[in-house]
Amino acid sequence: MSTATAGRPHAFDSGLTTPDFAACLAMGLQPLGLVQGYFVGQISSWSTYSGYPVRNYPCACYETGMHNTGWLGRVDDLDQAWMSAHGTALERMLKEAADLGAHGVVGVTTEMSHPTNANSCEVHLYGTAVLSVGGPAPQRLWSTQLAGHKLAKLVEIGYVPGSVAYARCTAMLVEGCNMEFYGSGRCGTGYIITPLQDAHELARSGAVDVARRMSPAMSMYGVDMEVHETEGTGATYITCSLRGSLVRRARSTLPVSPPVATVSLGS
Amino acid sequence: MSANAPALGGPGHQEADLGELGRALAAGEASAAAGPGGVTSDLSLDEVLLLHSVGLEPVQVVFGIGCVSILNGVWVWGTGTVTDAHDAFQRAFSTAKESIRQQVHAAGAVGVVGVDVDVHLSPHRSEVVVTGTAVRSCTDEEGRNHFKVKYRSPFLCDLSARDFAVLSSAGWYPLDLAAGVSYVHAPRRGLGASIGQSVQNVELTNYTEALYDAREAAMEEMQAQISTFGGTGLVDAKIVDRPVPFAHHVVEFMVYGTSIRMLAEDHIHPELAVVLPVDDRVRTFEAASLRKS
Repeated sequence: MSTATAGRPHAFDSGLTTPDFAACLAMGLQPLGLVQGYFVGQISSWSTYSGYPVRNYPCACYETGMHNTGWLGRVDDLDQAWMSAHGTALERMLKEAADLGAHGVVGVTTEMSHPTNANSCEVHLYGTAVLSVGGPAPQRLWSTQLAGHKLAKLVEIGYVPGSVAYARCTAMLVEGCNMEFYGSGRCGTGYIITPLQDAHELARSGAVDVARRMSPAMSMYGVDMEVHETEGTGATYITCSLRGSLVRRARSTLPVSPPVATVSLGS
Repeated sequence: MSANAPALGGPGHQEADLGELGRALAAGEASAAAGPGGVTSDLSLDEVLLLHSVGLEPVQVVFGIGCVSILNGVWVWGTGTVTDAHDAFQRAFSTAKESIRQQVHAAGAVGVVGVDVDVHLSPHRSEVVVTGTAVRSCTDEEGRNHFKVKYRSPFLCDLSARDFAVLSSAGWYPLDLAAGVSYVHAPRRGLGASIGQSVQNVELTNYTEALYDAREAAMEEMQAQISTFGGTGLVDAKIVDRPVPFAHHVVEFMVYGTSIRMLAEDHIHPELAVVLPVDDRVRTFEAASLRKS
C-alpha cells in the first residue's frame, strides 16, 4: 500500500501540543511526522446470525406447552471484523512511521465509526512518529496514546510502551419463553434474572480476556471501556469494547514520592 | 536506563535525565526484575501514579451485575410506596456488590477504586452494574507492603484515585458503597381539585409531599447502611430524584455514595501549596480538521 509520506519535504509535522513537543525533545525523542492509518470495511450481514451458544436456559413455562429454549452466545465474527480493522489500520500507521525512519509513535488517537450503515466499519488512527536520538532501533515499532511528560512518567515508574490495542466481545442473548419476566424460571418480584446477568458478565469478561490474551506479558492501562446494549429480532446484544495502551514492565516498580497538594489561582 | 536506575523524582534523586528515558524507550528493554503483565485497568496513567504514591497498584478491571425481576402490575396508580421496586433495587445492588467482591478476592486485591454505578430501571426489572479497578498493595524487593491499612473485607469506593489519595492523606479511608432508594406514589387529586386547580397558579402538594416522603425514606436507609458498614460518614453522595419515566405518578429518589471512616487519631489537614499558572491554555489537535482537507 502506498503511503502518504512519499515525497515529503524535510520539515516535520506533528499532532503534539506545544508542551508535549517540548517534553519529547527533552526525552530525546525527535518528532518526524504526523502518521495515519485508515481502514474502511464491510461487515458481513450474516455476522449477527453467527452467534454460537455457550449456555442454554430451559423453557420457563412448562404448563403452556411452549418450549422455546433461551440461550446465551458469543458473536465472534462481528468482534473479529472490528478487531482486524483496528489491527490493519494500526499496521498501516506503523508502516508510514517506519518509512520515515521512526522508532515509535506517540499520542496515538483512535476514531471508530460506521461510515455508511451498521454493516460498515471505519477505523482511523493517527499519531506522531518519533525517533529516539542516539538510541538503537527497536525490533518492532512501539505505539502509545501517551505523549510528553506523561510518557516520561510512565517510564519513570518502570514501564515501557508496547502498542495501542483494541479488544471487544459481543454477547448474544436469545430470549426463551418470556425469559425477561422469569427470574431463574420463577415469576414474581425479587428473583435474579440469571440470563441477563450472565450476558452482561460474558461481554465484559470476554473483552478483558481478549485484552489479556493479546499479550500476556503486557498490561493495558488507560482503558476506555464502553458497553452497548441493542435489541435485535428476538435477541439482545451486549457489546463491551476496550481501548487502551499495552505497556510492559521493564523493572521493579519503585515508590513515587507523595504528591504535593496545590490550589491553583487565576481563572 | 539500567535495571537499577533510581526513580526520577523519588527520594534522593533530584535530576531528571529525560534523554536516558528516550533511550530506554527505543531499546524496549526488559530486565529480570520485570513483574508479570496481564493487568487491564481503566485508570489513566495519572491515576496509576497517584495510587502508587499511596502504596497501591491496579490489578484488574472488575465488575458486578445484579438483575432482579419486578412483578407485573406494581406500577399501577395507587398510594404509598412501591416496595416491590425498592426490594428489587436493593437485591440487585447487593448482588452486584457481592459479585464484584468475589472478583476482588479472586484477584488477591484489597479493594476497588473508581467504581462506576450504572442503574437501569424498567417496568419488569431493576438492573445495577458496578465497574471499577481492583487495587492491591505495592511491595518492595523485601516483600514489604507499602499500603498499611488492613481490611477484613475488600473496600468499594466510587471515588477517583485523586479523591482516594486526598482522603487517605487526611487520615480517612473508604469502606463500602451505601445506597438508599424509595419509590412513592403521588396521590391522585380529586376531580373537583383537579378542575379547580386548572385555572390557578398553585403548588401540586401531592408531588411535593411524595418527594419529601421518598427522600426521607431513602436517606434514612442510606444512613442505616453507613452504620452497618461501621462508617462514620459518607462523601460524594449522588442523587437521582425524578418521576419514574414509564410511570409519572411515582416519584423516585435514589442516593448513593462511599461510606468512610477515620483511621488516624485526628483529621490531618493537608498543607496546600498555592500555584499561579502562567502558561496559556494550549490548543489541542483535533482529528476532525483532517477531514476538511
